[in-house]
Amino acid sequence: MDRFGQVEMSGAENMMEKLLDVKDLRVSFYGDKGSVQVVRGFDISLHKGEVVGILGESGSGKTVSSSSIIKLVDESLGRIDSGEAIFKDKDLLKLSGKELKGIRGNEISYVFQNSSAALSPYKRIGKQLGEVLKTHGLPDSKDHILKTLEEVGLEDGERIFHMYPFQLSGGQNQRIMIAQCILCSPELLIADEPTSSIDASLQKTILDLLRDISTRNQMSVIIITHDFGVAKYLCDRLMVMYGGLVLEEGAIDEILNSPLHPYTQELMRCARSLAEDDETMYTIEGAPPTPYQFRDECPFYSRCSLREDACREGIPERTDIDGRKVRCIKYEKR
Amino acid sequence: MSVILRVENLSKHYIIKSGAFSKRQVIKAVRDVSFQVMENQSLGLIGESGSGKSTIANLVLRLIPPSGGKIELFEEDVTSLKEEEMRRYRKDIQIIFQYTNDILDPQMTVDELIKEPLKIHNIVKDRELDQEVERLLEQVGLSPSERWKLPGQLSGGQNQRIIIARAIATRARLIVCDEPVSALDVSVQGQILNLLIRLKEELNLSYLFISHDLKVIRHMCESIAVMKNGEIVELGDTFEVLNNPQHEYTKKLIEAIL
Repeated sequence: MDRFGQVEMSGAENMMEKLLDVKDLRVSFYGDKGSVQVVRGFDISLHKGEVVGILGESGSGKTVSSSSIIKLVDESLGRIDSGEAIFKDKDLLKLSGKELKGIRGNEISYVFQNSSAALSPYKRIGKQLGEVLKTHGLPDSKDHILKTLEEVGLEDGERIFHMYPFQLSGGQNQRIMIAQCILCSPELLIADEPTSSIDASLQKTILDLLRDISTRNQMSVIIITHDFGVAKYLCDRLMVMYGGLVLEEGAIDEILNSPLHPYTQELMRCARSLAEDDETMYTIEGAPPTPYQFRDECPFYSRCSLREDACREGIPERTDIDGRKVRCIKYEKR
Repeated sequence: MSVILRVENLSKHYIIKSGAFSKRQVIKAVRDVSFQVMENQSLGLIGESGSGKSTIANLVLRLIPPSGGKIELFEEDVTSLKEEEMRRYRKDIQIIFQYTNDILDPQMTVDELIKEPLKIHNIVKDRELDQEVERLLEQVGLSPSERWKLPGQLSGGQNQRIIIARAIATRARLIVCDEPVSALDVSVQGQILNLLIRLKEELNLSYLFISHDLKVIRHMCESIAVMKNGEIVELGDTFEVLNNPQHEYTKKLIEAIL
């Protein structure tokens, strides 16, 4: 039963231990007009207990890149073109389906965006959670399930254990989804917009919950969001995606205080404009590119106020600036 | 300033019966709700999902019959109007839905999509149709080259502009906006909010504005109604309510802004 107990480790040492290292991940989907690369180079490295946010608008590749790490991309719909994802000395991308099954839900869990669709409507909560444990070769322990329900802030665990998902609210189901994901004490939790389907008043509670579990269990978290507020509230580090690329990466405070990439700067101005209730909303003209519009140039080119001809000469390199990474030719020149 | 929409003690109950021998269950989706929308003003409806916001939209549009209470449009009681009698109000009150991929017919061009409401409500003469589409495109900020495209060839923001063009095409005076920007990218949201504000002034529109985002409502609406469990728990001037909330739930919503 010691699987359920948390291994105590010294905090400082843990923070340095690398858990996941993804390099140059590229993913394509098969579409009507032929195959199209939607993730064009995704790098992420994650320490134990670290919370990293991936911020991006629709079509930026944030969901595809994160789900590809554990090969959740349907093979009939798309393929991983290249890259590696080293998780504790193993390259996840090279593992067989069977090996991955052992890792998914056990060492790495994924919270899907639409939680109500991720729970079976036919089974009582207790049974569903019990099956998760059995799938991963762990004893179906009611005590452990009740304890986990309590951990995610569901007080009346005993009653909920015997209920069906449709008898519960969206917020409760979202908590059950998270309970399901932390049941096997994963080392990495990937949460795709975990609060977008729930109400503002509950959002904070769910984020606090993720933060608590992360601190308590030394669990690393990748959270996918389109909301600066969520990123700021929860994350240690942030990656900003656009057009299938990570355009900027760094500590959350550094990015929020002095964004490097023009896209990050403009996006923050949009968010600030709404937060400060300006008379007229600040906007970025145009719309984010769809994968079919991806070219061999900076994806933000057409909307960027600082653009120059050189921006169209290939995708900008990832440039290291005092430990931060940015893809913009303005920084390449330095 | 005249009252465009007045709702008094409006209720909507659903009766759910799951099996022949099971007990009847009454779901009170909207309970005893009263509010009004003035000319060229916006009322924001905020509340959690399932609080009855969209049910109110459907009741006001008379898409579903109320269980009790009264709805007045342009100072006429329309609560029990028959569908034929209701028809003359259909063009005055329109809805802008949340943009999703399936909300516009994917096989219709932008031109056809905008002509549809114009034809249904006989807004202009047939020979003026083309010119009218041109005018509407310009009004919502779409370029003439977009006119012959299909929704699938346009971005979310552009499609939302088509939805708005269809709503204003009928010379509507009241527009129900149901989460008009929540599915849009952050960099595009502002474009649509600016457009809605400009149209409100240009066309003397009133909005019943449904959103779960308090920041959006604060920007768009002069007054605000906070809903919980089918009831309006707080109603008033937006500035007043946000700066001096009375109800616990309103306070909770304001605190939850990240």
